[in-house]
Amino acid sequence: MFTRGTLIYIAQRIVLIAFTVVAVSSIVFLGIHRLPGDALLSERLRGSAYQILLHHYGLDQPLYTQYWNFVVGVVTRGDLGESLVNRGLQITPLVLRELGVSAEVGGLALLFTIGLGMVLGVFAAMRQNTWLDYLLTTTSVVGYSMPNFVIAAFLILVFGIWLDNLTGGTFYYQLGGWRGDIGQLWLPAFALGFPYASIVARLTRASMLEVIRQDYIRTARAKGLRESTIIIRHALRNALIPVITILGPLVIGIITGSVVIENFFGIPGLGKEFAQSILNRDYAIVIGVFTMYAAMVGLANLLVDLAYVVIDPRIRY
Amino acid sequence: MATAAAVVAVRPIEPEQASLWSDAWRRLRRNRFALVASIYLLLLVAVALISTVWTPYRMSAVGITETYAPPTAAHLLGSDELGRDILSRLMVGAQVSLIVGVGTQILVLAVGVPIGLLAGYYRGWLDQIVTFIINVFYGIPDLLVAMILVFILGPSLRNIIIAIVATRWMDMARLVRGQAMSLREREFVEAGRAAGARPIKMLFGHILPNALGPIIVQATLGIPAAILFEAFLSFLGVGVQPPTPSWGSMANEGVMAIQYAPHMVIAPSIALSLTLMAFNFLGDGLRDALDPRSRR
Amino acid sequence: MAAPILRVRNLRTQFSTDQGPVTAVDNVSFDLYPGESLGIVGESGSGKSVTALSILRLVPDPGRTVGGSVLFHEQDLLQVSDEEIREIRGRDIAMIFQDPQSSLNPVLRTGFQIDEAMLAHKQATPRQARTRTIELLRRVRIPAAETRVRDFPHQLSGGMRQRAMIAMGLANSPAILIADEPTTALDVTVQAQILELLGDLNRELGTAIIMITHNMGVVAGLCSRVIVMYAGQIVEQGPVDQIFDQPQHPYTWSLLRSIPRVDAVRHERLRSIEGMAPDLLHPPAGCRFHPRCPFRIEKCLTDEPRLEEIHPGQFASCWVSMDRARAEMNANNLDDISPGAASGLKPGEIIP
Repeated sequence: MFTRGTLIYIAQRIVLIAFTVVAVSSIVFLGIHRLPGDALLSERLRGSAYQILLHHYGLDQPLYTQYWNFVVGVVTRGDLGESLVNRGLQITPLVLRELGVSAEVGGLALLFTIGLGMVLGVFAAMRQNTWLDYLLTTTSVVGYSMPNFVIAAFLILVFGIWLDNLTGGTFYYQLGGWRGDIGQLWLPAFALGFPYASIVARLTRASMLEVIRQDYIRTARAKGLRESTIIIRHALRNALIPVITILGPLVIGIITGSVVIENFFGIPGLGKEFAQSILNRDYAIVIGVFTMYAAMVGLANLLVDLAYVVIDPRIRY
Repeated sequence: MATAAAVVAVRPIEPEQASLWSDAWRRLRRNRFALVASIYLLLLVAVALISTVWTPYRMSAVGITETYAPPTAAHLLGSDELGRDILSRLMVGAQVSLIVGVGTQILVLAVGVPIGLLAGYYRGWLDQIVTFIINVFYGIPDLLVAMILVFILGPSLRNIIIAIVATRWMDMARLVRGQAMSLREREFVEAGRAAGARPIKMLFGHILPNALGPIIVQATLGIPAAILFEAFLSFLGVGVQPPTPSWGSMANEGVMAIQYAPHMVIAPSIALSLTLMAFNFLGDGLRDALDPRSRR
Repeated sequence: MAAPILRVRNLRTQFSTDQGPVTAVDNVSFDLYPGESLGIVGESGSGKSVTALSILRLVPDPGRTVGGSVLFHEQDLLQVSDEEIREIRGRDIAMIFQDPQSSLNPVLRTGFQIDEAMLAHKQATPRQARTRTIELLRRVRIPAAETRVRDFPHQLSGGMRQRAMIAMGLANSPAILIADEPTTALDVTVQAQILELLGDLNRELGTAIIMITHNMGVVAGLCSRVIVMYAGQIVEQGPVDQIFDQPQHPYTWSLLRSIPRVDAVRHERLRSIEGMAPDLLHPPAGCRFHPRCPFRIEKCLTDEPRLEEIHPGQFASCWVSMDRARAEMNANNLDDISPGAASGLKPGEIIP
């Protein structure tokens, strides 16, 4: 599927992503290490015990040595160091485990965003200038104007409390905790994806309207293709091309949103870890999670570029 | 022949600014959503101003009524976990949201516009540095960078504004840089340059006015983004610190009590959503009014 | 002569606009005989393309065919169900369009788009369809058809794309091929090749062709019969030789005069038809061509002429007709008349 040129492009991009990741985490590392005092102050330790701890984390070394060790650790072993609050907790395995959890919620949110957004967008385009179209276009502004924790709060109110009371506990959505029930994934994913679904719907509508006026749609019709085949095979794929452009920002938005939503629903993922570590002032983990995010964003953008190649044969790198 | 050319050059024909703005104003007034949004926002500003001198109850007064009281005639929006009046806190919270929203965008304009203008007009080393910074940070989630900055600087309203500006100036700089780069090739700018106009005059007298439309749209749409940032930060507990009320932290407190005092989360949620919606509708309206593509 | 394969009767297609309905095709009737090649000529806005689109019910919104009938094999195509017309499209009546660049889907392989025409009508298995597609591409003279079949449209040249479009049109061996300005977007040399190809296919496969064009030269090269349209109506129709030899409608006459001729005297001005194409929202009363007609008489301003057989097989809708104009005027003078001269003349000045 990919030509040699594309493979070379991928390799270049991966090198660039690695560079960006190191650069971004370095900025954060140096920024945080210039803080007055240090992370161990809260331990209220004095004397030798404090010195032993400082030495344990290498904090007694000059900043450039610390930095060098950090970069070498990340680049050669993928080692992000050790938690400053929970002694002995290695960050890399922790972050990878949490990444799995976040990917599950985020992935569902992404599917939901694209799925719902595109279905609504296509629908609005097919029914252009009807009440349905106006309703959908107006709701989309409402949709992306609602912070995700507001959406989450209303979902909890409706599904967790009111419906529960209404049905005498038959309909039950457990607050907090998770994985007890796959059904628990839906609310966080909905709250996470809804604002972006509105944006996708808007974009799909505009792009669909553009595409169905094209000559090749008339050709497809003149060939005697079924209307459903025309929409799915001929129109949708072309309408996808501009929609892909916002996939990158979409992934970033879902990562950002997950910090709030995972805290809200008590989901033990990367986002919750990030916010909690900031509150706990565990900056080793903050840097670790952030490095992970930078890598994910880079890879997501690369995947978007490759999606163009798959969908639009005119694009070659 | 040469003199004739020079005469032409010092009287460059600029795009008709006046008609553009009056056209845009006419289009904006006809947009019902933008109109309603503007009225709401004016009311919000009035409420925020009033709250600096008067609120129904003292905003931080504890135990004015019983805790978690649902809305009553005396306390229109009920009370919170410390028995404070939610309406009063909501009114003061409007100050925070507006200061963050408008304040950051003023600073973003102050930082992003000159940097973008200079980088786009002069190119060279300055442009390379700016593009490098923008490219490295491109796609790094803004909110997370802002959280780290607040973490480094310590949580306070001032630091939140600094953190948001530090992450958002790049978008503005990129926009202005692109505008400056395309405008510098236009005839009236080249003519001005040929006639020996001073660079500062070229930048602020000719290029900036012609790039103003997209800048205004971006700044307007940046306001709800900044308000959302602050709400997120405060919701997570790393934003504005108590006792200053912020809609985000009020929503957070409300979520804790969602099972027995839902009004605590509903009130700030609606205030926040309506405000963001109003700014988005206004920004959309401005874009439709100022977008030269829809003019033809 | 054999029975016509397609009978179009009183076809009327309107577009609704803010200012009211615009009748793009007004009461158009014609027959198409098996294996013949019929040209429909007219300037842009004359309704020739909309006529073609109306036959297959492909008129885009906000257009609607409001009256008439299109009889094909005893069926009125305007009355059959959506499913039935879909089966006829591409299988019995195929259509190819002006701009092969935009008429092929950029994200699907060219070969697949041709296969699709057969698969949509269950005419073949995918494997059979592919074999036939390669055959068709060879038939339309695309070199290295076996490899080209896997190319995307942007990898083909303009001429090759139009050949691929023609191959797509021929995929199900339709009885009728409607070609809507198929050469307009192409280079002159490529135009000639495409026309030659269409002519060969018409002769060898017996496919009846309806050629929509604004170019009299294209009609001369390909067609045996021609319909001339003006402002949504047919103003003249008949055998090509006869109409080129002695056009009867002043519009046809001026169209023919405006063809640049290689043998023309040097420095002779290129003749054009003066005046503007009519506003279809408010069409002129009487004969729609009268504002631009140098031969108009009083009657033309008020009464609408009907098509009448002026020579055997040749019909024109004109109160005057060029035969009468020639008879009453000196032939030399006729040649000097600017077709737009009407603006300076009072009605009835030339012909009492």
